[in-house]
Amino acid sequence: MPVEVRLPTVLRPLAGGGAVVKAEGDTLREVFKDLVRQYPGLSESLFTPEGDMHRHLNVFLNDDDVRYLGRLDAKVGPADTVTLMPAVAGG
Amino acid sequence: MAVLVLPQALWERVVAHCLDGLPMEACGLLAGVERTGGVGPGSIEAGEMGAGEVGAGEVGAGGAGANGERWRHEDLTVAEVCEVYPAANAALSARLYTVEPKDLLRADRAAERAGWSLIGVWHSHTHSPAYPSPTDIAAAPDPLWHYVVVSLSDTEPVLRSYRIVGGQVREEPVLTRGIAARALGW
Repeated sequence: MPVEVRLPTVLRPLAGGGAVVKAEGDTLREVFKDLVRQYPGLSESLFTPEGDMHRHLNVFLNDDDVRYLGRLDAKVGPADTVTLMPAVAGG
Repeated sequence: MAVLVLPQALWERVVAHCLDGLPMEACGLLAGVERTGGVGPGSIEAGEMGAGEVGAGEVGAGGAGANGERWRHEDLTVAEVCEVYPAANAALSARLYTVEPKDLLRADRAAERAGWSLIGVWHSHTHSPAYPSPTDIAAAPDPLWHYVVVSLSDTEPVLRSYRIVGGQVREEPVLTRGIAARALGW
């Protein structure tokens, strides 16, 4: 069962323009890899060159920040929604 | 060009949150709607804008644009702020801010429920002018967003808004709703 992934406006042009896409996976890492398989342009926005989660990305599994759920190892189920949002920061 | 319409009550909430955050920087999200073109002829002159209502150098310098042209409605993007969402500064710093991720998610969901989108962010500069810092420019996440900076370095708060696209900063006028209604023919 695919999970729903909600994209911020800045990433939508890289994923067909929609606000919501579907991706398969039992962990966040697998979901991200499936997203990149479908939309290769998302790769640099999701992963660091070392394969970790991009540090300028906020990722929520339903209402929870995945940084507290194991990051890319967070378990994902078919009823879950993954929400991606850019880190909003400055000085 | 773009114009940010920020109702006076929301202007006050933004500035109040910035003052409450002292001595740290404060931040929050802007939710609203955007319209491009067909918003009526512009006819704003600098003298019509009240203190605290406008923070745009290009308007102040030239009436409507640096070259003094009237705003042409077909070129105009009007971003109307309908709600502001104060956020915690996760950086807990007087020189940096990071919108607390949970507050970002809450704001995004609240905006969506109301039929709006997040269209920008605001933060305070406690000791520097209301202009994006190099850190702000480098970190700007979305070229479509409006970046509002509130300076608290002088006797009165100064609020200005910018677009940041590809590292280039462009200031945009900030109008209260009443002035926008008059200027844009609402």
